[in-house]
Amino acid sequence: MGPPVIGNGADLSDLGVEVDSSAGPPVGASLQDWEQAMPRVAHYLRALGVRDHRDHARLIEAIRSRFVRRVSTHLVADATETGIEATAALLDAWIAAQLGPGVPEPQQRMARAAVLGGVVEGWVAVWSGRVDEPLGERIIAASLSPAPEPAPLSMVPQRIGPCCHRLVRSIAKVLRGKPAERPHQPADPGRTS
Amino acid sequence: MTRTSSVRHPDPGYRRVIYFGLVLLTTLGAMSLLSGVFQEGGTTPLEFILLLLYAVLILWISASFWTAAIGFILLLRQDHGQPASDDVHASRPKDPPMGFKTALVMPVYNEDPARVFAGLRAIEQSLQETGRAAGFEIFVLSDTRDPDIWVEEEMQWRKWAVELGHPARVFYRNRVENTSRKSGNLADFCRRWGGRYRYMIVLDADSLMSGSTVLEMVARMEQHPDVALLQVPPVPVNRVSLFARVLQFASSLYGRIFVAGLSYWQGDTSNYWGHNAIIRVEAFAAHCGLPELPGREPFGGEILSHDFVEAALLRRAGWKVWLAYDLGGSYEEIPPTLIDYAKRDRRWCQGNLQHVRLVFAEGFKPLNRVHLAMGVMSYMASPLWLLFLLLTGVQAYLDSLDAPVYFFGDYLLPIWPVSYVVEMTTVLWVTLAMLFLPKLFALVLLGVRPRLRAAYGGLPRATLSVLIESLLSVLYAPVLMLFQSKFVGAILLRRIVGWPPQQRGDHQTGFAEALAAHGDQTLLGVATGVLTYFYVPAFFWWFTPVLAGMLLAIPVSMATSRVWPGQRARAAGLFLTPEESMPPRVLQLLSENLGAVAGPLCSGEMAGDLWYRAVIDPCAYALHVSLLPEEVPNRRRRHYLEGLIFQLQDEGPQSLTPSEKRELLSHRDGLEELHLLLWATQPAPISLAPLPARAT
Repeated sequence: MGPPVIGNGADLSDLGVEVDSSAGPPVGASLQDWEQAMPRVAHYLRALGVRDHRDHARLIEAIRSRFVRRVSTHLVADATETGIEATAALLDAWIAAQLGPGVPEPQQRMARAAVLGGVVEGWVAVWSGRVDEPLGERIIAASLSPAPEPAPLSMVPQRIGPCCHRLVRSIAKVLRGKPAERPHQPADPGRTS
Repeated sequence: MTRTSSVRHPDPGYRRVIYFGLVLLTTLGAMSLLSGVFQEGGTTPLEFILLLLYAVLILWISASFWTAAIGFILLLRQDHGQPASDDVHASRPKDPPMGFKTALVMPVYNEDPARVFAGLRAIEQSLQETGRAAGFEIFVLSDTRDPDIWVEEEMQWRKWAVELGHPARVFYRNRVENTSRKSGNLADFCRRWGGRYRYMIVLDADSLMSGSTVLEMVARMEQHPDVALLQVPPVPVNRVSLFARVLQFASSLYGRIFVAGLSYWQGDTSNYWGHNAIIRVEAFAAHCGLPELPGREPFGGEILSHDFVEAALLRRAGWKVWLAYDLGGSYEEIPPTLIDYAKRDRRWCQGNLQHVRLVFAEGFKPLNRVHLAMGVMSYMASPLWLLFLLLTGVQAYLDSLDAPVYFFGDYLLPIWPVSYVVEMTTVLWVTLAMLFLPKLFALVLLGVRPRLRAAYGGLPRATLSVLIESLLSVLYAPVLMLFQSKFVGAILLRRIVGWPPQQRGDHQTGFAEALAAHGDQTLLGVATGVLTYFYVPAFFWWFTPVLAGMLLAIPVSMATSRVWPGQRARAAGLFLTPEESMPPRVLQLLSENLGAVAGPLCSGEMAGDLWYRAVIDPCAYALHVSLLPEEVPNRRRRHYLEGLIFQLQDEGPQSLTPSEKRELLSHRDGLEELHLLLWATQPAPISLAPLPARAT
């Protein structure tokens, strides 16, 4: 399993962390590692809601294909992580395909929440390809936005001149031996408007 | 801005002349009695201070008394009483035209999500029953920082939103930064979505409002385009401990009188209580952006008690602010124990004391200045009473040192010292009468209103309840005086109050908690008792009611926090409120919602902390990620998140603080990475049931 990598593919070496080069070239996952990753991928599929053996078998096969493509073209550090990644990518790709082109990312994320929330019945069979049925409209209908479209209003801080602030400050300055605030000086800096 | 009401709403100035005239006359009368006593032989500096303190305190008491007296007369003159517990008004509210939307907004901060959503569902269901729910949208404005509560809020929102379906009418957002607390939360709502709504009804986490009341509020705002804010007084409900039931009873029975009185003399310059109010969004956004006050906390910085200030700003801009004393169907819940009540006071105290700087702020209406001053006095009264009692004791001690001299020089006849017992007793009785007469007013009102009487369990039981409540309030008074004096002292010493969430659910005070909260009060009571008994014995007996409250603080606090005495009292018909006798529909709905067996939120197979489920459980994770705002963490933030992920991997989830857990949950990229990493580790982050056996 590799180090955590957050945002834009940057990893620890990108961030200036020294990597021990004496250990030789990095050993990546290989095609044979699929057998190691497969049980965890199967477990993950169950967590996603795949309950039917037929769907399970089909999806495992599809994920395996992705896994193979991935390890053949990229140097990957951890087979299990690559397997899980391939599963998530397969799901996201399927959702994007169901929604159609041009659907923005936030809506895709809402669609994924709807699908995994169990609102779209029978989605697993469609995902695995066992059932051929377009689900885009049902997914969109189940994708609930947490907030409506923005309808902004301006709300600027009002001016409130609290009592005696300048007077108290002037007295305090005098007591501390500093010159008092003169009347033409600007208003209190803390005042926001 | 100057606006003219299209609908006549009487608010003649003579009402305030009458009210303030009565308050001032009463104060002057009481002071003249006391000063007559002090002037004998010249006024000493100590007597002068006592006189000043008494003037301030009696002004405060008489203001409260005359509000109650006016409210009592108003209610007595009405043809019928308030509907006892019915949340449907005597006349069905006029259905407002609905070519616009109204938002029901509930700012929440680490509240119990189950209660929050059960309450909102009850309001929505009640609205559905009016058939006019389509014009309303519900917004949960979360400032929650606790990661588990945050995730549960999301799941509750999702579940409800799915049930309601399209068009979406329930919305949720969690603020990235909770700047300026509740007022900042509402301001954020106005800035982002305010243009979508003509009105917003602001709710507290424990608020409840019936659908018909909500409709009536909108209808009134539509009829009065010059009103920017309509406050509907909330009635406390739903608590079962003895402390809370007594307080509920008192608020319900006496509260209606006070609210009617307030409405009479406040008129168009009523106040905003922070929730259970409808607000014209455009006016609010235009005039209620709150600045930071110059200077440091506790008196500078963010304005903590924003509601009074917002009402003052609206009035300054020419809008009217009304108190709808005649509207029912508005409820809230109160702290279940004396200690929780004091904790709530601790939070409110700083906000109210901060208003001392705003009493003379530029441009506010005189009546708004009075509101602000009254807010300050509601907490300053306690240390002033404490000081008054202390100085009275000193004065009594000094008086006891003076042995009376009956014979002067060659004069053969004794010269008797002038007795002021009559004057002093009159002062005492006047003060006590003003404190206790409102309770009598409430009973008289019950006597002439059969429906209301029945709703309070009948006159004999209500009278007995008032007597017990009065006894308990005598015991509570010194305890609260000491608490509030301590709070005021701490704030004056610049010890800042945090923003702890309220403990709203019923729970019982244990001995350790009671000892920690009241131990110093009890010790003070013992010391004061011994000192007064030995050094000022005449004063000791006058002082016994105060001493009793202090000495019994621990047992009283513990006993009244219990649920069973509250339940027994209810079974005996004591402290009954109309909402208990005939629960309004919206309260029934809340009870049903709370009692309903909740279905699983996302995968029912997974247990454990909710925040961790949002990392592991694909369903909770997908939901959470879909609700996060778009944000690309900078390099420094990425480093920090990576460190947290390493910590989680190496030391386990329990090694993280709540704020670190929140950090991990707050950034999509980090969360995605963590989700993958944890699913790739050994052993699997969760165990699941195997697939069902293959059919043969």
